[in-house]
Amino acid sequence: MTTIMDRFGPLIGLWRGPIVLQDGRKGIAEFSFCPHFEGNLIELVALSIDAETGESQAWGMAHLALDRAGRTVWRQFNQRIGFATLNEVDDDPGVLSASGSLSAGRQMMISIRQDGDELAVTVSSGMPDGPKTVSRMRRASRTLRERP
Amino acid sequence: MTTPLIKRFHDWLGVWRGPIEWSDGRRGIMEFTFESIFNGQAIEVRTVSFDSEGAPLTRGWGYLSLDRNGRVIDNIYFSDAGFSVLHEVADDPGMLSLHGPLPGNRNLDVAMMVEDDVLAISSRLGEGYAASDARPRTFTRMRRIGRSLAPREEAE
Amino acid sequence: MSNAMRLLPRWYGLWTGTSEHESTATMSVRTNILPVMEGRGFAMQTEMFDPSTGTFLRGVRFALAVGPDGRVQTVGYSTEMGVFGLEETPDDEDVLALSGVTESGIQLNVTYREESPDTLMFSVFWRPHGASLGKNARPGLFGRIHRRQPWRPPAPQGGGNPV
Repeated sequence: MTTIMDRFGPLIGLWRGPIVLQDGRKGIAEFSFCPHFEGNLIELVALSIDAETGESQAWGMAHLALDRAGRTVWRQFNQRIGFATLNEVDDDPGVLSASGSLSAGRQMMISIRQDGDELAVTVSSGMPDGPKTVSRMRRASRTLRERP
Repeated sequence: MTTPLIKRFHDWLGVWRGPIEWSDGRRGIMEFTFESIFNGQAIEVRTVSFDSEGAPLTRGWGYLSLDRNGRVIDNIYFSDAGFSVLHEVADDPGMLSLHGPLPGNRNLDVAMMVEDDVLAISSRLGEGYAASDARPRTFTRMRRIGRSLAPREEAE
Repeated sequence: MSNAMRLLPRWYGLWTGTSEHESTATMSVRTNILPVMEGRGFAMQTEMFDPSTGTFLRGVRFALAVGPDGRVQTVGYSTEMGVFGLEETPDDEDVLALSGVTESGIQLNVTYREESPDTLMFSVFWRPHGASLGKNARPGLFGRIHRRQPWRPPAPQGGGNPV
């Protein structure tokens, strides 16, 4: 049986790097991906930190798991838009893209591309051509594998 | 039932973050997390610092507990210093001052205080047998981030 | 303040006990309640084991937080039901009650009741979304967990040291 870890195991660990939030603020992004339940669940805890003061600018978390069809379901919370459930949409191999509906007809779209020790994240939560949150992070921990 | 350790360090539990500058010119953000473990028998301390691009600078762990005399013992690892067991030394009320040996004939002094949602930490790495005030010193003031992580009835 | 955000800081820590499931024998339960997102939310992770073999049977992990609209909801996952989102529902002041529909279409109702400061009772009902609960419905999962205290040697009896 394929688990979410089979597809996204290389994400596991801690990533940090510059981020520009949708509202234009700049900071340091911190994404931590951790597996649970024998690799069936990946939990993401995400944070944006003001690089001058250390204050948290934005925070949230998400659960990533596969549905019966083997597609990723992304259930998330963040302090600005609250809770949402996103479903995987087609994208290039190696890229996880998911989208879902928010209140008031808005659409949320998230895209994660991992290439070696680099992680690029794009998030939009308004109109498709509106401003986006963009971050390019580097691995800040050793590569963590659940088990050989 | 509150343990003596949690009673004393209740206000410290949580996440703290603030700017830091080292004596060698490095600058970044320092983060400390104090979390009660084993029902308040010990406090796990995790620390990390990173530069303005998010690149890691330092990291460390520690376990605070009380000895039979009610004084603090802090078993730590810090990437700039290595492993050590620090013991509390006398200081002003509200201040936690610790001292301990490091590998290679070095030693470490740490002083910490929490006041009005600010955690102030100063540390000094020493080398050789004689203490000297010329030793490099690091000082940081961090603010509480998020909510206190005080457990059980302490949270109310 | 919601029951969840009032009770969970008090319940923070490790709990163990047993539970009964409608289709299996008694299971050992371990629940860890811990702060997440710098204390702005709480995660609850429950694992259930076969008490004789230690085999991991089922697990649930969810995190609760207050959304911008003031409602308490979850980000959650169950090894049986997959991803789910629950919402806190009103209940007695010593009860954390959550309900919602999983991504696979199962209606879930979860309650944790503080029986004493160191004992929690929990129950979980599930049924296909839209089906009625039924008059005599019993929880599919029911259990009681106790706060873990580190073991301490008993106080000496009588006085004086044994020779």
